[in-house]
Amino acid sequence: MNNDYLWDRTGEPDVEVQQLEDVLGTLRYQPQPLELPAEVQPAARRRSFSALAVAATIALLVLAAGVWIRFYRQQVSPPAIAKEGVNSNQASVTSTPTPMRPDELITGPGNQARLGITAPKRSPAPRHTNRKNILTRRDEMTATQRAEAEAAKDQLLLALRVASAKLNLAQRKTVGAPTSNNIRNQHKLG
Amino acid sequence: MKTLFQSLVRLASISLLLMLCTAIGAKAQSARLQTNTLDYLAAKASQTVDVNIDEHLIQMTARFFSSTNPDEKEIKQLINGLKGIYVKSFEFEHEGEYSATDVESIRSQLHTPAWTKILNVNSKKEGSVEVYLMTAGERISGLVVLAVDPKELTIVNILGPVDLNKLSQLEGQFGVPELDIEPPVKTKPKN
Repeated sequence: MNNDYLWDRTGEPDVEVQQLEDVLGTLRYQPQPLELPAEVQPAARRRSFSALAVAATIALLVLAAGVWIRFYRQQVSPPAIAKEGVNSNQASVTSTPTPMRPDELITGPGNQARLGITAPKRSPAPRHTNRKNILTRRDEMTATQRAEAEAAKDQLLLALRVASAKLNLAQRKTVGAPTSNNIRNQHKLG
Repeated sequence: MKTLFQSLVRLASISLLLMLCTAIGAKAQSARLQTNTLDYLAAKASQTVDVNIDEHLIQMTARFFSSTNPDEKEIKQLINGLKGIYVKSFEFEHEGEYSATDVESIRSQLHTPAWTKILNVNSKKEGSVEVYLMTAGERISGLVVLAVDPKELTIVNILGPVDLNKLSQLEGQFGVPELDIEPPVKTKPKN
């Protein structure tokens, strides 16, 4: 039997081989352009991807900017405003968390209104000040602001005394003697 | 190009997730208690102490403590580094003016792994005093004293590295008599 036909399709073909060729020939590779289903549109998908990416990037940038501004304001945030309690029996010190520009730390009109201070006439200061200037302004406290700070100091002392009294009460109840201090050696600081 | 967009979206999502986790974690580790739910008790109380001093006010006030006066110097050292001092104290004419729910609203905030109860004194007549600490490593980062008396409710919340030794020695100093907020106890004279 001559096998040339199997090698290079020359010579006389075998009948069985021809039958096999006919059967398998239908599965032969036939070059034709790629036909994608109608619902799959690469261009539209790319557009949605790009829109999503842009939206996510903008959201990330906005979030990062918000976080940065928050940290920046915390670093240069103003001293809080002390307010006396309305009740004679009630001591109260509250601080306003309202963020303010650095140049409004002490002498800002909003602050003065809240503190009940009439704004002193002064030469206009540059809007953008550096940190050193801010500290200088802080040092130049008016008498009213000083009084407010003194009041805050009293409230701070009151708070510390209440805390101290309650700690001592707990210790006295635990041990029964005022001199011993169980908490003292719990956590050594420094 | 497509891969670049996909990477960008993934990066943005991961960054957002990380930021959210950081924010949630920071909030969870805060030593600040929410005591606003007790504000309504001020109307019932015969005497109220409500002190809210944040870090900025502490820093501003610290400048008014003398560095030459030993007592004031001690306070200055005590408040140095503190992030906030919050005290709420209500004294009532009669018993039963506040409910157990009020106390539980505070106590539930302390039932987290961040807080450790280091002291708990219970007395049927005089109520209870609980002391909680939040620590970061070996340093104290928060203190809560919850004093519950039939006629009094006091919450002390100090944020930051408070020196308990100095704080407990503070009462009765600086020419101010001790606060009469507890039954009188015979004290031994200091050496």
